[in-house]
Formats: sequence, C-alpha cells, structure tokens
Amino acid sequence: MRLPDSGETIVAISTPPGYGGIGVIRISGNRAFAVANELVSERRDFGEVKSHTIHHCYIKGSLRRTFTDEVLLAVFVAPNSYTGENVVEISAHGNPQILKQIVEMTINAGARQATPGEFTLRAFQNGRIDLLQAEAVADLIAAEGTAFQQAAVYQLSGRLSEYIGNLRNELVEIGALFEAYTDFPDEEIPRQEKSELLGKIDTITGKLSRLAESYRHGEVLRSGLQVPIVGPPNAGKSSLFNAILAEERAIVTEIPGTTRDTIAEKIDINGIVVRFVDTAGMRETDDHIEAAGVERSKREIEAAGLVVAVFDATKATVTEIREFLSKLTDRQVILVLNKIDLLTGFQIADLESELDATRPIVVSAKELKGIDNLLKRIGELIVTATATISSDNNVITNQRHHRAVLAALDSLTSVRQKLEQDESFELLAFDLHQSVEALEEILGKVTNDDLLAEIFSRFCIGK
Amino acid sequence: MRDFQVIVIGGGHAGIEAAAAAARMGATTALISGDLAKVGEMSCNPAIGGVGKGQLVREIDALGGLMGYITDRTGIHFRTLNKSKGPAVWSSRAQCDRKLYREFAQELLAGIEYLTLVEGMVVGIGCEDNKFSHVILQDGREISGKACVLASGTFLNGLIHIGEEQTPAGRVNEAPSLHLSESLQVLGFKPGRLKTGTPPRLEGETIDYSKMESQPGDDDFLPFSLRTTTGVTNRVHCHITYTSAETHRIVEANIHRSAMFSGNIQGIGPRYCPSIEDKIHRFRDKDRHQLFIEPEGLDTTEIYINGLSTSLPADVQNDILHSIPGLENVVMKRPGYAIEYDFFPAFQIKPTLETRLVANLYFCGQINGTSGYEEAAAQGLLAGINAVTKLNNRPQVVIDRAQAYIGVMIDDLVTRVPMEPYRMFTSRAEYRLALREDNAYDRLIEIGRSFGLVTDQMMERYVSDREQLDSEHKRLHKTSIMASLVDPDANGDKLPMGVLLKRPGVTYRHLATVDEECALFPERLGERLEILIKYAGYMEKQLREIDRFRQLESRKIPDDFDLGVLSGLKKEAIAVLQQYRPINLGQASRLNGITFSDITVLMIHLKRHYSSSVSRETN
Repeated sequence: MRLPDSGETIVAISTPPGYGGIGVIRISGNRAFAVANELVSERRDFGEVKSHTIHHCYIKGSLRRTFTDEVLLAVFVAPNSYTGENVVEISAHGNPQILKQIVEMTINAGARQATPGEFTLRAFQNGRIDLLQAEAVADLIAAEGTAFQQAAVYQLSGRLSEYIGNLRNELVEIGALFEAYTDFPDEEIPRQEKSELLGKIDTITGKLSRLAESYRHGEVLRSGLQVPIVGPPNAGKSSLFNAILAEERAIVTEIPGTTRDTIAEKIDINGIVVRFVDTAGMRETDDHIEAAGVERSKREIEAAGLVVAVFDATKATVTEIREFLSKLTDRQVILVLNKIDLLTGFQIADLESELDATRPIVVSAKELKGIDNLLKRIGELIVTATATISSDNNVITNQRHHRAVLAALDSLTSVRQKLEQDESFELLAFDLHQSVEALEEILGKVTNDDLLAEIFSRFCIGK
Repeated sequence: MRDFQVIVIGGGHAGIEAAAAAARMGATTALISGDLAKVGEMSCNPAIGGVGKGQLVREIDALGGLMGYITDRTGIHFRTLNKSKGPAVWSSRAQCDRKLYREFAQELLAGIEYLTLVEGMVVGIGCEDNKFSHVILQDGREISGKACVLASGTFLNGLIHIGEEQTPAGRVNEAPSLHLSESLQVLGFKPGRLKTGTPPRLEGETIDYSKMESQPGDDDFLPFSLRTTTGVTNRVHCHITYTSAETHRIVEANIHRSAMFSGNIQGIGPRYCPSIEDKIHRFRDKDRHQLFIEPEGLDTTEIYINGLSTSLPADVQNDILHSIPGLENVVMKRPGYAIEYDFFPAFQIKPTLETRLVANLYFCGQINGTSGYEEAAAQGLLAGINAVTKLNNRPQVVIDRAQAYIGVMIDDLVTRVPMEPYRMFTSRAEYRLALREDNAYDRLIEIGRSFGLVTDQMMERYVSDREQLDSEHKRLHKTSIMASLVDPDANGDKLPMGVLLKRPGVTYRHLATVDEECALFPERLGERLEILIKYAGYMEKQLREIDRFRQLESRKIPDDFDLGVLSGLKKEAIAVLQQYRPINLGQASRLNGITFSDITVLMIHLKRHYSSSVSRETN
C-alpha cells in the first residue's frame, strides 16, 4: 500500500452522503486559497483575508451570470487548521448534485480528490497530532456509544499518549541504571537499590496490566456489549426481547440509522451499545445467508460476557433453574423470571426468596412490567465493569495497541525475573529495550510505511 | 606532481593508524609530527582497552589496524573487565609500557613501504576549489598532497591549567599548535571547546604497596590481535587504594583554587572520568573513591594514579596524595593538570570522516570531539582507508550502528554535538549483544581484507578458526552425554552437548572434563563456541531488530536532494536537516528535533524524488 502524495492540494465532501441541511466541502493544501478564488463569482483573494473568518459568496455557475450555490466559506491559514495546511471549508446546501459540482470545479482548478483519511494523514504529517490521536479521529467518526466517543476524545486530547509516554520514560530511566551497571565494571548493585528497582518495575507492570485489561472494556466500548437472551423453550425469550425494545423506545432514544435484523437489536445503556440477541430467533434454516448469520450469533453467544437467562415463573422449578445456571459459568448471568402476570404477589415473593442468591428479576414481558429493572441491572453491571476506565480514563480500544501493551508486559516480566535471579545487566537491558520499543510503537515512533497506510485507510473520505 | 598522495597530520593513535593504512593500501603517504620521537606516545595513562574500548581495539584489529598488535607486544598487565557479566560486555584492557609502545609503533611504521615520516609543525591547510591541496609548516615549507587526514589531538589551541596557572601547550613541555585551528576557521569550520584532565604522576619507589589491594593480570587473557600467535605476558601487578576522609577535607578546603571551580575553564569536562574535586563535590555521600595504582612501564618507576584527575594547584595535589593509604610518603614527579582544546563539531564531516567544506580532507580523533586512544585509532584507520578509496574512485566505507562500535561512534558524532569529550561505552550500542569482542572478525575482517590490510597469515588463522568452530558446533549437537555429568540438577538422561551448553552454569570447560574431544579443542575457541550457543536466542531477536533498523538505514538521502524546499516540514526541522545532512532516513530520525512525522514527510518526498529521477532517465 502506498501513501498518497502530500504536495498536492486535496478536496473532498466532508459530510455524509445523501441529502442534508448543509454539505461541507473541505480543501487543504498550499493552493487551497487559489483554488477557492477560482470558484467564486466575484473577484476575491482568500489568501489575503484573516485566518478563521467566514465569507458569504456565490459559487460560479456553468453559464455566465448563473450561480451553482450560495455558500459560506471559512478560511484557515496554515498552520492553524485541522491539517496544519491552508484550509478552506465551504458550507453549501446539502444537495449531493451541488456538492459534486463544486468538487468538480475545485478539481478543474487544480485540486485532487482526497483519499480516505488523507486530511488526518496530513495533520499527522504536519505534526499536528500523533499516531494515537490520528487513530482516535477514526474511532470518533465510527463511535456509536457515547462512552466510546469519550474514550476517543480522551485519546485525541493527547492525554493517553502522555500516559503511555510517561510509562515509556520510566522504563528508559530504569534502563539507564542497567546501562550504568554494565559500563562500570566493578560496581555491584546494592540490595536496597535492587528492591527499589523491583518495586518500580512492579508499579509499571501494574499500570501496563491495567491498560491491557482495559482493552476488554475498550472492546466493549468499541463494539458494544453482546447480550444473548437464553432460556428453555417457551420461557418467553422473544416476548422479552420485544418487550425490551418496546421499553427502550419508550425511555431511551433509538440509535438512528442502524439496520434492524430480526434477531438482534442495539440500544444504548449508560453510553454503551448493548446488542440483545434473541436466541429463539435462531433456528435451523436452509437459507445460506441466514444460516451464516445464525452461526455468527452462536459464536458470539459463546463469547458473550453477559447473558440474560429467562424462565417461565409459572413452570420452572428451582432445581431446573440452578442446573441451567450452572452451565453458564465464566460469565455474568442475569436471571429473569417471566410471566409474573400469571402469579399472585405471594407466589412471586416466595420464588424471589428461594432464588435470592441469584438476585432474580421478575418481569412480565406481556404487560411490560419489570423491564425497567432489567435495564437498570444491566446498566449497573456496565457501570461496575467500566468503573476502572472512568477512574483514570486510560482505555485501550484498539487491537494494535493491545498487542503492543501485551508485548511490553511480556518483556517487562522477563526483566523482573532476570533481575531477581541476578542475571547479567546487558540481558536485562535487552529485554527492557524491547519493552520500550513496544510502547514506542503505540506512540508511532517506529516508522513503517505499511503501518501508516493501514491506519489511515480506515478513515472515510473527507476526514 | 604532488609530493604525496596522502598527508597525515599528527603522530598519535589516530595518525599512526591513518598513515599505516594509507601507505599499506599503496598510497605514497607522509606522516607529519612536531616531534618524530614522540610518534606513538601515550599522552595520558599507558592503558589500552576498557569497557566498550576493548571492543573497539578488536574491531581495529579485524580491519587490519595496528593498535591491538602493538598492545599485545608491549603490554605488561592484561585483564578482562566485566567478566562477572555476559560475554557481550566482556572488555579487554591492558596496561602497557609507555616507552615500549612508542618504540614498537615507530618500528612498525618504519617498516611500511610508501610511508615517509616528516618532522614539522603544521600551521595551515591549503585548498584549491574547495579541495585539499597542501599543508604549510611553521618553517615555511609547503608539502602538497591529494588527500589529508587531520589527526592533531590535543595540540589545537591547547591550554593547560594547574590550579591558578595557565600555560598554552599541547602536552606538558610541548608547544601547542596555535595556527592550525585558526587556519581551519578561516576555511569556514566552526570550532567548539572541550576539556579533559590527567592525574599526577608518582615515584613508585616511594609507595607502600602493603597498604593496598594487589590486582594481578589474567593468565588466560586472549590477545588483542589475531596477528599475535604466542599469547601475552603479565609482568606487573596493579594496585587498588582509596581516598580517605582527610583527602575529602583537603579537596573541599581548596576547591576554590581548582581551575574547574574558579571559572577559568570554559570547556566542558568528561562526565565519565571526572576530576577528583568534581567527584567529591558531586557525590558528597560517598565516603571514599576507588583509585588504581598503575605502572607506566618496566624500566621506569613512574606510576599513574587512575581516578585522581585534578586541576588543583601542585601543593594541594601533594597534600591530597599524602592523605591516601599507601601514599603517605609518596613523591609526586609531576602534578596533574586539566587541558582545554578546540574541536570541530562533527556535523561538519560526513560519516566517511571527510569534511563537507573541503573535499579530500578527513578529520579524526580529538578534533571530532572524542577522547581516548581507541576512539582516535578507530577513526584514524577509517579516515586512512577512505582517503585512499576516494583517490582511487572506489566507494567510501561507511560502517553502520549494527555492524560495529566504530559505526556507533561515528554515527553518534555526526548526529549530535558532544557536550563533553566522547568516550565509548557499551551502552551507546543498541545492538550490543551482536557487537562483541569474540565476533569482531566475523563482522569486519572481510572489509579489512578487501583493502589488503589484513595479512594472509591473519586471514588463514581466521578461516581455520571458523572451520574448527563450525565443525565442533555440529559435533556438539550430534554428540550426546549423560546430562548429570555436567549439570548437577539433571537426571541420567542423555542429551546433546549443544543442548546442555545452553543451560546456565554449564560451560565448555565442564564439557572438556567429560568429553575427550572437547578437552583437545583449543580453549579460546571453546569459549567462543559457548558464547555462540548460549547467546543464540538473544541473537535471533537482536538480528530481527537489526533488520528493522536497516529498513530506514537503507533509505538513502542523495547528496543532490534539496532539503531546503520540502513542503510539509517545519522550518526548525529543515534547519536541523540542513546542518547535519543525514545520509539516510535512519540517521535523520536520530537527529535532535526531528519527529516521526518529519520522517514520514521526508519519506514521501524521497519516494517522489526517486520516481521522478527514474522517469527522467527513461525519457
């Protein structure tokens, strides 16, 4: 994969495709102002105006004295722009035909259609943002849940870079000590210094472990939480599924633009996208596409960290419930007793007390009773799970970063082991260096074309 | 017709390597020194090697230089430092007889065809069309040449400080070269100033050794040079003593009289070999500092006291000495002193050591900001080789950081201005595990050989060693013995010796006690084999790192590439790139003030540069 040419002036529509109130066209590069001058009907020189100013103008039409659109044109002078270059942003009316025409005019005036992520790539190349921040931009655009947005914004702010950078610096400091003991041949490391060093390494290891751990939450932030609804036949899985969606429509705003399929539905709970899966909807099928979907869902259920188990409160016995639950180890289970509309208050209290340890939630999917309690419980679990995140906000949401942190941890573990066993310092230094390099890879200090091309190809055009 | 093809200025360790290499490569060469009797002089401690430096000496030997061979022949005390650590940082060190060293160096030089020794003080460098043409001597003589290696050491505007006294000089009792530095500045070179120091010299007859620890040499020391077939001989012991509370009191009381602390010295002193006043002032918590008592030769009783560099007045130095156990009645033969000198920050030279301003002029040694014989000799050797290859229109030799300590040193020099005299350390080498004394020949001998600097006899020995190592390596992996014979923790299983050797605590010597063929195998090769096998895992990882390192190193920045017009680069970045003119992207990435994004921009511009030059060619 090749990186695009950074010398040319580039243009793209920066708003989503389709009709909208307005559409924004972004132009960036040395010739951005000259290109803009060519577009407008009056003689203007945007190279002469102040940075961060907005100008009302008309875009030329195909015939003399006609206009393509009436627009607002914003001017940003390098280096104080998104890309660090001269930038013009044209807010036109959100008609795709108009936007396309304007882009064609800029290309005729010497600009080039931008590749996906190229504006951010330029911001990166011009030193406006580091690699971690660049990736955050991609995340921010793709973010569905508000918590994921937060993590992305945090990463974009450069504070995660700073955090990882500090860990790297602490490691470098320890490395300097190893080097000193290597180069001063007659020095032995005093015991006190050794235990101090071990302590420092443990602290850093702890921080790195938490970072690595945060990826699990980060994954949840990025991809959302998969919650299968399971239970014996006729427990009311589908009606619970529908009840949750009905409740959700009533109390939470629906996430727009999501494709609805018949067996899974996303809702936002405490900033996390939760995707409920109706396992009752998963039956044997001859349809290849549906079968593939069912297969995928099955795997997801296998991997799900949270499961809603539904039972018919009028039929299920305590033994049956316990046996069912015992198969669902290694994950959080919320026990739901359905169809309480068919029971008396006394019977409900009885069941609840018998299953007290499992903290059952009693609902009536039919009458939409208790569904709010179920959503509240899920919300609580999410809050607990993400509590570690919100405390210091350092969450890893990216697989590349996760791999690097694990590599850093691995080498650091080896450093600790060798230090304890009094192995030679040049070997400790070697492992430590590998740890440092892994962290530098996250910060983008390791230069590699393919990595860059890969990262920036994740962007959509216009960003 | 020029007088010589190559002119080498200076007869120190850089100068003799440069002159010997150039002449042995067939170029008519002149070595000019202010005092020919002082050629090969060890101006400070007569010791060669040390941590990081021992590695340099082996590399010099692998490239066909003289230093290791002279040391083997004139050393009187040989030791391997860091022996308690891993083999990558084992470092050879020798105490030499100063007089013998000088004499043997002169003898070797006298035997080299095409080499002429010229006595005279060079005061100017002449050039035509920005290309070296001749040197001007103090007595008015002019000697013309096609290339010049400047290895003038401490003689550039040297200023000696002893307490409040200041004397312009190169070394004690030798005149400094005042005009050469000026001549270089007239040519446009920008100078900087550095400082280094020496300790006092003692009369050995007046030392009470019974109060000191004795430090004998290593009997199994592996000679520095592949030319040495006989082994080396330890003839003396060194001794260790310590500063006392009284020493620290005297230093504190007189610190205001030190040139270091009275502000007389503008240069910056080396951090790694600080003056005693510096050490005591900086490390107030330490109640004593180690001192090494090292003899300067066999037929002299003069003693060098390592660890006691100072610029305090002579009377204070005397008091300090008398406060040290074993030196209560010592006679000080000469006081220690600090010396300040000009250097020319090495962004002004290319990694070939040729200057950017004047073609065919090469800088090496202290002029580039280094301290130490080994650092100087390594540069001298490379400068000599490159001066001749340039004249023969052959490609210049550039050694990279993954290849040798020499490469590390030169890359460090050309990518940053030293704040203190540059001394080699193993920690300067990222690929330290791959840059060991034991594999210096594997890394470099082919280069030395290609210039005819490695003798046939050395090459034969190298090849024969290699073959023996390879076949024994194979045999160890094929031959199994009972594990418990060499590893007390093991059971009675039979395992290949190559596998057993990987275990901590199992050495080749252990194998030799139970396996007859191991016992017959040369010990020095057995140790090398042990290193190869024990380090194999690390080497694999290190080689992967080196591969990654070379990705950027292989992206050359051509000489005609205009760094001034690159869009997307900050002005500061452009200024740094123009000052240092890195030869490849890797080197650029190591410059201060160059960020990762700068490298990305450079990368893109370079791609365009190459693709456009290709299309020009095809048109």
